[in-house]
Amino acid sequence: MQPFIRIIAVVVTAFIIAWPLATPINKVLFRYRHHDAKRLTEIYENNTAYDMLFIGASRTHRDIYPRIIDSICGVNSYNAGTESGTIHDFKMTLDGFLVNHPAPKVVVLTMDLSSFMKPYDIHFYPQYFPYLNNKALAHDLSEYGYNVNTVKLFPFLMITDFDDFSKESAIQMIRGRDTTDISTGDFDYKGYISNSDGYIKKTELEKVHKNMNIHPESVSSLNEMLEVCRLHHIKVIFTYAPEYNFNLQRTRTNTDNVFSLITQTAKKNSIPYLRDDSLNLCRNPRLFANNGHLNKQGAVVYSAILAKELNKVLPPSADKIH
Amino acid sequence: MAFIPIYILILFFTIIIDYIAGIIIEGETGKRRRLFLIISIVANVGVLAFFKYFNFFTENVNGLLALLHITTYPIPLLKIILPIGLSFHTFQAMSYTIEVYRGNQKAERHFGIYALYVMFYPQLTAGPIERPQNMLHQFHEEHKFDSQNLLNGLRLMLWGFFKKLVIADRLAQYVTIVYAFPGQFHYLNLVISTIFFGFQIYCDFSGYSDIALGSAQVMGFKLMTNFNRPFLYATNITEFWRRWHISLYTWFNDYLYTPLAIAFREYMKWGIAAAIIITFALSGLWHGANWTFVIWGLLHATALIYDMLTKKIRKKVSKKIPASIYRVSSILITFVILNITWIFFRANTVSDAFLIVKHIFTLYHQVPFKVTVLDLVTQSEFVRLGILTGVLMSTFMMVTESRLSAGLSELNNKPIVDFLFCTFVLVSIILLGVFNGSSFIYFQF
Repeated sequence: MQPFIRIIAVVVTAFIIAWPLATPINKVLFRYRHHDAKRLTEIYENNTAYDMLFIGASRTHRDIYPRIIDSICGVNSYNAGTESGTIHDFKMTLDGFLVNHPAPKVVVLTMDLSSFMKPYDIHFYPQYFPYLNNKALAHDLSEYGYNVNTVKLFPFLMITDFDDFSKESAIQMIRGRDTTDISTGDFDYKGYISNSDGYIKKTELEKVHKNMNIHPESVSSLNEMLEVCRLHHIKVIFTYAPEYNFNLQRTRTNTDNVFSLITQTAKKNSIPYLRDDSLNLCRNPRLFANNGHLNKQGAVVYSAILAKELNKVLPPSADKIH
Repeated sequence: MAFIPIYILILFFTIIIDYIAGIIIEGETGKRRRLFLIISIVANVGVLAFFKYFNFFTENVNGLLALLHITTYPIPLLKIILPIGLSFHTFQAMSYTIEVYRGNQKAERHFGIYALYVMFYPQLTAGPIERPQNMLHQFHEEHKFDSQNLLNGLRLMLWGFFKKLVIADRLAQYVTIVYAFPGQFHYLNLVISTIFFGFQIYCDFSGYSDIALGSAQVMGFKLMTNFNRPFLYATNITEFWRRWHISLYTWFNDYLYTPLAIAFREYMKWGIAAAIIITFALSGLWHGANWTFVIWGLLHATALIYDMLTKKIRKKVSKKIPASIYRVSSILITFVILNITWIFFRANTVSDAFLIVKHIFTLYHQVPFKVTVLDLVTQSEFVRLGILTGVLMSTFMMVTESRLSAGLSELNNKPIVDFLFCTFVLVSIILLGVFNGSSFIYFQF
């Protein structure tokens, strides 16, 4: 057999074998990721009109309960928080959302200490692969260095981006075991997912002090995001979600610079900045699942407080929101 | 890993120095010849010492001063990143000037070709550390496209990717966690992760070498073989070093051990032992600026000296035992010794390494044995699949390498076997590869 023919035969046969083996695993994986699939479909594929969009990381995703916000502010809001997200995830969420949805009136952006830490690194990027028809999402992922074209061309190759944990979960589901990313006793609602009822029992601090870097690419992404909001006439509000007893700030370094950057950006762009790390609830361990995240009850309490804060900074007439 | 453009100047600096030194050495005689060799070596070693060892040296001096209660003026550490592949291309550059000095190689007049010799991309970052006699003439020859070279090269690259992505990076998940918290694991976890590390580093480094050799072969270049199935055939540590990282071993042998052994020849065996100790201590230090690597090197030196001193006795013993039993038991004993040395190579600190050794030899079982140690981080029944895959694929790799030569060239004459083998390997990479793993271990050296 000629060398060229041998090479082509190997590649074609390998693809023919791998395709039917990989495809069910990929499909089942998204069934396992029940909550995330629902959330990402809403953000990147659906076209529901929302007045208010919450963007941020897990401290948005698990701390802000839209049902409470909607009832107090009289709006239709959606929680588009992303686990372990940084500013690049936030920008991608907004860009992708605006492709199909009408622009929301308000974007509430929860800025974390770690929001500027990573240069173009999207957390668990394979979760976005089924939504590559969303042009803004595909564009941003490609801009951040992910090879979306290969996945578009050969969708079964997305298996190469899943870790062993995901593959094993998929195989368990194929074998009939019912697993999901919503833990027993928890629930999801309009993008929000509840934490458990558990609360902080030990208040021992981490010994390692993590440095909260500020990457220039992250600052650029934030500015680009604000520019997008300006073009779409979206009012932006910055928040800092509650943390237990300042324990995040006490175990991180460079936090002053991060806060200073957020404050200056807010000031420069006339953005209200709701810093909620000094609320009374921040001293109640029974409202926190851990130092950085509220538990189920804490999220309800905080969402009510946040809703009232939002009412204060939003235009007085509800008509301006609706 | 980061790309720092200014670091290109380091390469440029050593290339210029060595290029000029080579031409001058060839044209000179006597002391001036030696002087330019020394200038070239000092420049190369100086760059390596500054980037790789300055902070190590400083930390040790500061530690010593602190012991003597002199803490007023600690020497500040430098915030520098080790340029990728520095240890490899400085050694390759040094081999050029030394070979020109010895008269084994003509000085290269074409600056571009000399620069290519130092920077040839398939082997720039992690070897093999080539010799000018093997490489320079290839850059002068005409290379026409050859589809057979393409096939052989791609096959070898595929095999390298398989070893790296399917085996090394998968086993690394287990090893990384156990070695990060060695005190928290049962002795069996420590034993398994140490054995896994042996396979991990072999698949990682020999995988890289296969990719380097394969990508060079695609372009029609032939690099030296760097690994020759060390775990399968090494019956003692001396033989292991003839099969493991061959380009580094022969470099140290040619340019350090042999000159030292000649210099110490009047001390007979003790002179050879001293040469081995110095060579392997420096070889350990070459791998990394950490005492763990120095101890690893010294352990290998001890094993080599043992080999040398017991050669006659072992020969006598071998005659009394059936050859196959003697051979298999020698391979197993060598494998066990290697695993003990890997502990020092992999441990994050010297105290971690000694803790692991202590826990293994005292059969530490204060904590339960965990089959899937990743429970610790994922809180799930993670990766039975992953570990099973790692073990099965390691076995497949060993069986394959026991039946084929290092270049897999036998497959050329067996098209059906070749087709089935390559298809299986490619499908395994697609379905079982760990694509979000780390870079190659030897990139850090």
